[in-house]
Amino acid sequence: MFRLTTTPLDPAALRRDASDPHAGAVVVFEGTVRDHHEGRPVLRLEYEAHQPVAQSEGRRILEEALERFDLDHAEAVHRLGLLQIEESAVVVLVAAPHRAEAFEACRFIIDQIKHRVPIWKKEFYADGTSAWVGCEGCREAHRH
Amino acid sequence: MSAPLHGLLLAGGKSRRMGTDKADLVVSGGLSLRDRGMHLLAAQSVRAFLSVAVDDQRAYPVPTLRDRIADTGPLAGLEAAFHHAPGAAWLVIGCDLPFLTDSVLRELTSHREPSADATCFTSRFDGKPEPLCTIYEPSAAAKLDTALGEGVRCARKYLSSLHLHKLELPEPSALDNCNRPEDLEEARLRLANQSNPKTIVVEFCGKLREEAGTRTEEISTCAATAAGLWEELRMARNFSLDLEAVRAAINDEFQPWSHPLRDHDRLALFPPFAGG
Repeated sequence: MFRLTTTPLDPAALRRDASDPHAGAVVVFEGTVRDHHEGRPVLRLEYEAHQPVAQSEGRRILEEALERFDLDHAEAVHRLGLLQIEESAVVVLVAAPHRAEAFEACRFIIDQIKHRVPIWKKEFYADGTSAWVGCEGCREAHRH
Repeated sequence: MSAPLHGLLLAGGKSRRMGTDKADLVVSGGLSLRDRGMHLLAAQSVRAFLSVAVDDQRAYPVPTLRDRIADTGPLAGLEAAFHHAPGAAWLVIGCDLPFLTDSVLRELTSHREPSADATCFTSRFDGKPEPLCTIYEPSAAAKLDTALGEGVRCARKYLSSLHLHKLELPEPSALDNCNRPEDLEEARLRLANQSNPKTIVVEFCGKLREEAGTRTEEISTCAATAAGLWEELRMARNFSLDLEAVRAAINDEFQPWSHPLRDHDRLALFPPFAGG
């Protein structure tokens, strides 16, 4: 159901595994590595996760999706390690009898993964610098 | 010949992170932090004043000094005190110090050095002078006016500019303060004697792993909650993230910061997530 992996993702294989005669709609979301972030050229990035918590939280999200929506199948795989531009970072696949539920459930799952699963992304820029995404401006302005 | 010593309890803060007036909180012993602080000062045989904000219209049953400058933090309280009694020295304490005791204050008053601008303790975290449990001599008054004129609002920055007589804290955690509800829970548990020494395996993740220079480390601590240990680690290692930006998992389960720590727990520290 939910997996973390350091090997390149294969959305076509996931799509084959999800084939289901009951389903009238399959929605696949693929998050890919883009070559820019807030105007800065990005060369590559690195993902890391806290594996035990990421696994259990990811599984919980898929279970919630199956409860909330009328689905035949829900699956998500997140890549870890060094990724090059255009590679897939995450694939979410949902199969349902009807397209509305499939679209909605797929959106729900990717949004929840971003908010709740302990995965971190470090971007490496063309100018030789790097930064952890989401940590900008977190330092408190001042303490006494 | 030293100047007479008065006492000043700083209770005019905005308590922004606590979300409620800190001085009203009861941490232990059935007294609000305001009443407890006034008792601590009175026990040092000083004339004790309560320092309140410019716009505080409440009536207090104790001598009160209202700030004369708004939004200036603790230094406004000291300014009002020097204005009230220019020839006096001031024993200043913050109201949010639930671990401060008579004996720690006695250590300060008995080692007072009137020829310095101030007698103070140094922080257990970074060795820097602690401005909110300090005796300020009259010679510090003119320097305060200068600092305020230059726009200084940080009490520690002002204190560091003075000629200091520094003391080691007799109890390392005596000046640990309370800024958030999580700190309060930590203080309550520690004061209820639930702060046995323990070993915690801390897992640093993402940016924190990079800043810590390690993924896991065994830490010996007396912290009672995850928040208490985070605060120790953050101060000691100067992490760039604050409690509001970090989440905690204990033994691979998300937990609130006020979750108690047990010996050999594993505490994972999570910076903001960025999956997808």
